[in-house]
Amino acid sequence: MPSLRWLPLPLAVLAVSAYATSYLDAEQARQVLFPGVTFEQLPFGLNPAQAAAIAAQAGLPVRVRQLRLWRGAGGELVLVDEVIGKHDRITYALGLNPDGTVKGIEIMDYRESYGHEVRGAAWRGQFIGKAVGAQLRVDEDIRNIGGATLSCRHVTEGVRRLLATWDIALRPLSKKTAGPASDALPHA
Amino acid sequence: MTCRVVAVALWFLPITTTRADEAAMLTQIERMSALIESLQRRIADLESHVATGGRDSTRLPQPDRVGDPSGASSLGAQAASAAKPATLEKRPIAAEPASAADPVFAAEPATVVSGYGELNYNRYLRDSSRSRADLRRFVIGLNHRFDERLSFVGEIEWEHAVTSASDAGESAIEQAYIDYAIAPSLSVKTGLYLMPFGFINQAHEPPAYYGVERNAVETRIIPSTWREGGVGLSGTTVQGWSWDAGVTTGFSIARFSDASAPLASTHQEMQLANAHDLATYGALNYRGVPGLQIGGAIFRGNAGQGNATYLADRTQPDLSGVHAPVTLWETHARWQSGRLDLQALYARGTIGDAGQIDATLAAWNTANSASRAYVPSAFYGWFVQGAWRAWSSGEASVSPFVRYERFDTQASMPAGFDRSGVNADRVATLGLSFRPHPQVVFKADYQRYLDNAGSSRVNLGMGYLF
Repeated sequence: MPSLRWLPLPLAVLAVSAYATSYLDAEQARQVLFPGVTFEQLPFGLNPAQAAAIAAQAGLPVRVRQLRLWRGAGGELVLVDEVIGKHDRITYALGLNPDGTVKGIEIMDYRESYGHEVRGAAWRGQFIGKAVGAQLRVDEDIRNIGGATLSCRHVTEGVRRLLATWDIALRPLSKKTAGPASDALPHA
Repeated sequence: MTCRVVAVALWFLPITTTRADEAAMLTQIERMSALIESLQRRIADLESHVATGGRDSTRLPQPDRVGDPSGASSLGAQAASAAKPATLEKRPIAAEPASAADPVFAAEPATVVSGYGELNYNRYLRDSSRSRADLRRFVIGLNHRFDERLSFVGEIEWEHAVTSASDAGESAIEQAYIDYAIAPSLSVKTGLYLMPFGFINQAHEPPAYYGVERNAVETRIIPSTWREGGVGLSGTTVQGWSWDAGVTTGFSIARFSDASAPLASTHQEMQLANAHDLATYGALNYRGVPGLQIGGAIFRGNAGQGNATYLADRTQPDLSGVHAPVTLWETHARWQSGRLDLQALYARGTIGDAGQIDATLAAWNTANSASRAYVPSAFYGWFVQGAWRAWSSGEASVSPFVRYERFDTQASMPAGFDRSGVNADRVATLGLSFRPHPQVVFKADYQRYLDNAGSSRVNLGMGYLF
């Protein structure tokens, strides 16, 4: 029964494993997207009219009207959002340049057994430079990952919805602030 | 708060320090004030740590500054000067939430019900009496998340609509395993799970593949839906690599009954599986270029199972001394770009001790006037497939495809045992998939069997996934 020789392998891996389950937390994601930029968190809730306009523009429902939004001194924005992969949530951060183009996306949490491949840098890199008006559809301007189709599609839809959110509601916030972000709001 | 505590301290100080001089008392007050302030900072840090689950080092605002109306006004003033000022809602400044603390998604149920299924119609062109309409599969998935790292995945499957002692249908547990995220890119699972082979075995929901019927290579050579019980590790890298490895139950050669699908008739599916012999597997895939998937997998394990079937039932063939090592490997590639979807796969399997097994079976067949099938030494298959999304509108699409495949489930037989022509074929398939929604598909295709023309057929199918 030679196969049993491999039995200690999983145990050994378990023994040296790390404890974290998140790829990145919100602060780390901001720093990966915009290194060295100081961010402030902005409280921001979409009103029903905005949510309806975003849904119409993106062709997707807006299920969460309270945004998790950070702004840098130069008008950079970072949004943390969640979509359903196949059955479970994917948490990701979208970085937007002051002109509304995508700086990048970072997968912060991926909880399902399958489809982790959306974390791949090359796949995420397809979103860089995308802006309002881009198709943002899998098998159109975003290539699929075989075996991770639903995760690809739902993350892509999430980015499309957030770009519509920027267009409808956040565009004014992308302007450069007068001073450091920490001076803009009395936020501890 | 500091002032209140200091005042209380001062109230009691005269009682406890009536004989202290004024300088000593002031020094003590200063020390206590410093201590109180230190404790306050410590409490604030702990509150921040708890609020963020220890993952985000950003501190919470000081309690008396949370919801500072001046802060909200500041945001509002900036927004008011912008193009759409009236659409902004002023909200109090909130603490930075943990990444997974979305108020809506956090309310999602821990248990999620999913499902997929398919209904197929096969119309045989040479002999229509073989034609069938079948509710091929009805599958309910039950997925439960215990916490951020620990989850359960389960699938219950019914085949052929009706399951009873006198019907052809069957019910089966297709998956039932616990998955534990050791680290962000490393997980371990234990239970009954799908083997990471080819395209279809793990992604077998009808909208995920072309053709009403699954391709022959991934049913006859790779026995989809192939699952084993065991322990498996899975990992991914940011560069696009993913890998799987594990130790599982294996096949049981004593169950061999179908020469057209060698492994499908010997897999055990965790049904009182003989586990004298365990097996190992490994898989490696690269998806580092968007649209590209290239990879392979290998499985190896003995199927002799200690002659357990004979020892339990002496009327069965005596396969003592047979180890029957089974090796199955495959390699595959897929390229999806725009409207194009190209796939290719090659799979090959071998069964050791086939000569000894078949000699035993031949003697047993003679003694019992039976006709049990003989075990091949090797079997293989491959296919190439191309699909083109010819039309799309919103979520709907139509994709014609063409596939050519070749298989031989008796590619090599032990000396003295003949191959049967019905177990090897070349199949050309032309069809299309109409998806009104990406997770719902209606399919139609024509399959021409080039070597066994009687199997040529037209297929219609419906499938869904949620």
